[in-house]
Amino acid sequence: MTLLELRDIEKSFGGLRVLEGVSMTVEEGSIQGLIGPNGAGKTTLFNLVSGLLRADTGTIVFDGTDITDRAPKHIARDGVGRTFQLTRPYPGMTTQDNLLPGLVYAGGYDRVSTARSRALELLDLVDLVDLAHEESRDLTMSEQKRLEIARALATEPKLLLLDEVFAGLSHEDVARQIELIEGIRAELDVTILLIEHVMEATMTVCDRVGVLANGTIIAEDVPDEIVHDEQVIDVYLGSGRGEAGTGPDSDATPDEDVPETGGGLDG
Amino acid sequence: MIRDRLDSSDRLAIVVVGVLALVPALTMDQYVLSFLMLLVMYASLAVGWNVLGGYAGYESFGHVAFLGVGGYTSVWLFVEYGLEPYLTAPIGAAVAGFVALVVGYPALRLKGPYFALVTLVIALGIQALVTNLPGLDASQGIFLPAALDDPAHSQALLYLLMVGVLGVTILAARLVERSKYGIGLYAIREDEAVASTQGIDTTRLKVGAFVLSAALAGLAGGIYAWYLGYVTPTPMFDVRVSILVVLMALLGGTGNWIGPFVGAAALRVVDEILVLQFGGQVAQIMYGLVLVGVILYLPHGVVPWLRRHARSRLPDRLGGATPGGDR
Repeated sequence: MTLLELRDIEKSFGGLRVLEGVSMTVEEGSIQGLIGPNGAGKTTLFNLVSGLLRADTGTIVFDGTDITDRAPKHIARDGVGRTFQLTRPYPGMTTQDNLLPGLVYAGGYDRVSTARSRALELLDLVDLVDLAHEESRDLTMSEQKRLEIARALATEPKLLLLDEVFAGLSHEDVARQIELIEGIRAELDVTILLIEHVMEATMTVCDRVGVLANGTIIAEDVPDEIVHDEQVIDVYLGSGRGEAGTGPDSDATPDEDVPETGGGLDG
Repeated sequence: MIRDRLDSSDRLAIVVVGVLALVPALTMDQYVLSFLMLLVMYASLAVGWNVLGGYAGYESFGHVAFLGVGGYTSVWLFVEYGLEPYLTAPIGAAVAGFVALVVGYPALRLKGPYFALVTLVIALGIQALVTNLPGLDASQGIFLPAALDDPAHSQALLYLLMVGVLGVTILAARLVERSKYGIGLYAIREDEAVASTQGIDTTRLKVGAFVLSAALAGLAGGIYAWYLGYVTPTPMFDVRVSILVVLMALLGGTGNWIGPFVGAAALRVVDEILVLQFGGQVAQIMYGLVLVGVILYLPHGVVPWLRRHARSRLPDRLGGATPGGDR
């Protein structure tokens, strides 16, 4: 069953056309990835789905309801939770308290005391329970990324939008994050849409991957096919793909004419 | 059991209000009462201001407007209808809350310094409106000479009513702090856009906090006008009151009700000592220096600083259960 569907989404900022007719679907229970070069409009897409921005044209349907023009608070209550690329914990609150707003306002935990104990469960899930009483601004980057995930889960979402939760993490932390995301799907029955630069992690964790470039989805398939897709290699991977550790066959024809994308697959 | 539901912050509130209420039984000294009257009024204003300014992070520089609206309403109701302060002050609070509802929607679309400036201007506008209302004839103020001779309006009684206002204000602040509502306001203070993606109706919560905060100021104004026996643009609409209230809250710390209360009490005491020791002019300068020093060295306020330093010895005595903590 389709949980999220985007139809012909267009979005411009002044004269800058960021999304030029994006259509995609996310199936319930899947982990769907969305990759694309810097400035491809990935975060804009998340802002549209979570309601922080409005699409110029097109329709967004979530769980059978048209949410194109709904306010963020309603979309959150409908069951869309999200993280932010630049981590934005509530800085003056403790790690535990960071989860309370989502729990009581969207997660259905009306009583503050039950919300507090649920917060500890979620912190346990992301392995932050020992830091429950630390101020969130004192957490490391890796810890803040996990707090972002826990805080998004606090709204008890059906769909979890993860915005570059691997970016800037060490190899060990990426591995841990992959484990965490797989654990979330298994334990919480949540559908996940993640946008990402880190190819290796995306290809490992996702069931399907879409590629956003020049304002449209140029390819959408299982990871193995995506890394072999000529069009994707042309616009996105460039000749630097081997360095990013995406593990494509060495037979995949490197095209000499492909413009160098700066090898910036991780950045 | 009620006892189980009261934490250290609640018990402190009961002690503070109880001790202040006992003062008239111990002394009827005019100086003591008038000093405490101002202290209690400023404490009410600062604790009430903090519901919006501290919890939600929207720092209004126009708080005095609601003191004025409550005061003028209260006095006018007596002059026109002969109503007593027990009635006029709550009605004044309601009118102040209504005014906040009307100006809150547009003003709360702005943030930070823009919100501060707009509230400052709105306060001036409300003053101009109230003092020039046709029929009210209030540009020179309204006086209550006859009312003051009545023993039912004695200074001690009005002082006790003001202590009651403080009690109501602290109770309201505590209810907000402990509830779902407080959690929403803290989230708005920390990051409003994120809060909106977590199901929080930020506009409704902010306007609600503004209305509550204004109504509490209106209540204080309603009693204060009776205590003065008149309302005039100064002090009922004095911009210095707005600024003092902000300073008091920031001085004490804005995470919970204790900070603004301590800030208000401390500033009133320091002000009084400086005036007695050095006279008005010098006192003003030293007062300013004290404030600059506190803002430079204790940017999060006195109470959080004290708590941090006392923590090793005293385990979290002062209202540690606040969701948002102190800034």
